[in-house]
Parts: sequence; structure tokens; C-alpha cells
Amino acid sequence: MTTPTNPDDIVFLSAQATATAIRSGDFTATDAVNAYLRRIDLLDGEIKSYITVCREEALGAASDADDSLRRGDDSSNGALFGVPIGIKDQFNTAGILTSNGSRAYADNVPAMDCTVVTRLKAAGAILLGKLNLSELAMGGTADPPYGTPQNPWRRDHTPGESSSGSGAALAANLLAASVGEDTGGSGRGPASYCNAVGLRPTFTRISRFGITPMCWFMDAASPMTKTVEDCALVLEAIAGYDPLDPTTSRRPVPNYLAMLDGDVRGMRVGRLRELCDAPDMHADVRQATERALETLAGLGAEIVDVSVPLTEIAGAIFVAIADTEGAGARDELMRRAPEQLDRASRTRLQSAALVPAKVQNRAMKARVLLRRQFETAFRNVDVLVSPTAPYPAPRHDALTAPFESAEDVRERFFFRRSYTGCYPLAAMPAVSVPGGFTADGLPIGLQIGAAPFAEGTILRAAYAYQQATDWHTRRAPV
Amino acid sequence: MTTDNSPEGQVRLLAGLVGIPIEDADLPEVANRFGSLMQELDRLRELDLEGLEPVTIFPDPDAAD
Repeated sequence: MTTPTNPDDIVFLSAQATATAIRSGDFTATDAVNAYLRRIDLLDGEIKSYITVCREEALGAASDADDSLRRGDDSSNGALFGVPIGIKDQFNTAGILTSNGSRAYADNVPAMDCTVVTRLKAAGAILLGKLNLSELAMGGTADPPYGTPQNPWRRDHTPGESSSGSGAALAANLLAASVGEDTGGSGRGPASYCNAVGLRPTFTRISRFGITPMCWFMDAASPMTKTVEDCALVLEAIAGYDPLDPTTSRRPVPNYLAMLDGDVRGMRVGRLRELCDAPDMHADVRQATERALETLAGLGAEIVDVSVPLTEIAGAIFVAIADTEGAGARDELMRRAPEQLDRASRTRLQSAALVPAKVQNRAMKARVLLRRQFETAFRNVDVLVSPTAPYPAPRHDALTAPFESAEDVRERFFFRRSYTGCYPLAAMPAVSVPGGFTADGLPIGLQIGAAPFAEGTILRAAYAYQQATDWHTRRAPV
Repeated sequence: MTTDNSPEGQVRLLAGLVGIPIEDADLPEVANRFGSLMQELDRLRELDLEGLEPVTIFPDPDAAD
């Protein structure tokens, strides 16, 4: 997109284009921040994507950025220079409320930034605000304390969980880029429902320091963006070893953007059979996925059918591990003040707290077996492709209504989680990219996964697919 | 004293043993969630998990020092 003549149109630029335009002097960082603030004022009263808008802080940072550019400081070289971003309200920000979407954290104002925010700022990004989320990053919140985020593609439908504000804000162009969090699909799910890009990296790729945990051995910061190129930029800005999170990998961080050459000739693409052939999948999702595979084949990729059997019940395995961990971490809150938790979060944690140790142990072993099944698959293919979710964004009440039976839980809770939960269980990366629309206009996400630390391969495939389609250019009707 | 063998009764008993307070209004939903999870995970019994060691973080053999 060329530089907009109308300042209000700045919001439709990608993060990459925004940084380039500011550095070129086409408009200032202050212009960019003001454009987003005007749009937030106009739309977010209804969309509810932000919990906190950092108006004064953002304008101050933009003014500093404009001054540094005038002086020719090195700081203007940052990959995200002047780019207005929003962060899921699960990430600590110094002096700014970090609510975790919960009444239990209504007074939580951290003293220091998390590493992700520190690195985004070092890359030149400007924090516009903190974004709404499902309570404690869990999903299904029936009565969110900061309002129910709406999907800009269709009101009364969910923008996804749990990085709901990130997905909604991207779809409505209320920020240039975001970082959500993806324990079991909380970044990829909203990206799928909102026609955005969402990446879950390899578990140890990005520091978790200062992120409120849901499950400490599967939580991962998730770049969420308008384009694949932006995803590469944000990932590169925040990835890498952090002494404040000793689990982070010491592997060097590649130049992901340079890997986006649009060439997938000879790439071996696996069609993940269990997730592509599920009988209960929405017909339009099934069709969009097959067309995406045809598109990749048309670009020169070799498509092969691949089975990873345990992905079928990955949702239940994930819940048995992540929720029991979460229940342990919230034990004191559950005993002392369960009424502070939303009904959905409370009953989910309470049910997880009752899981017998032998069952949780069996789930942990099944996780290792799933990892081995994926490792076997990735000896034969470079990436695996499937839908990100088996259906498009459901109505809010389909997520928040109390479960009527065990079968109801399976259909509305476990089924979808198997699609995204399989990769975190295997500690492997996956991205969701815009993959089409249903006949009635709801976005469909295409999921591309790969072996540990193969984010570059994933993004290369995603970029080639993006360049061959126009899904990412479509705008939500707001 | 009679034993309540309904799913809600079983959940009430379990919760009491581990000291998790659950309001009566929440019992049906907790019972449905718990029952469904146990049903799904029952499928894991069919798997050969012998010799697999549970880990929280998978080691990265290629990591630089």
C-alpha cells in the first residue's frame, strides 16, 4: 500500500509499511499514534478490544521518536520504529494495570515491564495500550469484567480466545501489530477468527519473564499481526535468550524477514489427515483447506498425506496437563475467593483440580508420544497443514453457555482445542494465516506447523501462500 | 447416611476430600467438565505408554552453549 493521503488511512498500513513511512518522513510517529487513537475512540466503545489505552504515554513516546528521527539517532533504525502496538493484558507493564482479564487482578500494577515489552520498545514500537482477554488467559469467560470483545467481522460472534482483544483490534485496525499469548491456541485461534496472522513459537524461543502464567511449561508469547512479514519482524524483535527466563533457548535468532522469498518449490507439505478429515468440521473450512493445499501445490510444493494419530484427542490431553497445572497455580484463589473468578474459569479450574494424579501422569506420557509422532512426521515433510479451527467464529453464547452434558463438553470444548493444542503439547511452532472465508463471510484460518525452531520455514510457507491469495487484504465491515 | 452416586454427588465428594469449595449452582457444570475429561482420557488406556518418561520441557540437543 502506498502512503495514504488521508491521515486516518494510516491505520490500514502494515507495521512494516508504517515503520518505513515514518523513517522516510511520509508521516510522523505522532501522526500514526493519533490516527489509531482517533479510530479507537470511534470504534472501541463497541468492540471492547482495549482494557487500557495508554494515550499520554503513547503520544509522549511518539514525540520522542519523532525527535530522535530529526536528530538522526540510531534508535530510528529499529525494525518497529514508531509502530503503534497493543499488548495482551497478561504481560506486565511498568506502572500500567495488568488485569489478566480478571476481577482478582483489578489492582495489579507491576513495577517493571516484561521482557517482551522491553524488547518491543527497544525495537522502536510504541505501546498504545493493553488488550482485553479471556479471564486468566483461559477462555469461555461468561461475564468479562472489561466487556465482551466483539468480532469486527460479525458482532455477537467471538473474536476467539484467549487473546480476544488482540484479534479484534487487528481486524478493526485499532493497532498496527500485537503480541498475544498462546498456551494452547490463544494466539492462533483469534487470528483464525479475525483474518489475522498469529504465531505460536517453539516453547523456549521467547522469554516468558513477566507474563502471567497459565501453564508454565507451555505458555508462549504470540506475535499477532496483519501480515506474515509483520509476524517475522515482531518475532525477530522479541525472540532470543533472556537471563530472566532461564528456559529460553540460546540459539541465535535468525533474520526471519530475509527468509520470506515466496519460493516453496520442492517444499514437502504434509496434509495433517486427522485434522483435515474430522467428520464434524464445517464444510467451508474443509473446502478452504483443500484449496489452500492446491494453491501450495500450484506454487511447486509437494503435498503428501500425513497421519499424527494423537492429534485427534490432543484437546483432552492438553486440558489434563495445562488445566491441572493452572488449577495448582490458582489453588489459593480457588479456596479463598472463588467468587472473584468468572463462572466458566471457576468451574474449569475446579474440575481440573479433581483430576487424579495417575490420569495426569498418563496424559504427560501421551504428550511425549504425540511429540514422537510429530517427530516422525517431520522426518518426511517440512511443514504440516490443517485448518486452525474446525469451524469459523462461533456466537458468544456457544462458548459461554454452561455445559449441559459430558458430550456437550466434548463438542464445544475439546474438539476445537485439539486443532491448536497439539503443537504446544509437542513444543513445536505453528502459525495461523488468513485462509479464506465461509460462504457467509466469516474468516477461516490456515494452520502451518513445523519442527522445533523451524519458524523460518513456517513463515516462508505462510508468506508464499499469502502472496498467492488476497485474503489478508480484506477489511472487516466496521 | 446414603451415598450420592450421581455425577454431582461424586464431584461433591471428591471436592470435599481435596478441600475445594464448590457451590451447589456450579456442581452440574463441574461434573460435566470432569466427566467429559475422564471419558476422553480413558482412550489413553489403549495406548502403549510403557517406557515413556513424562517431561515438562523437551531438551534441545542443538542449542548453542
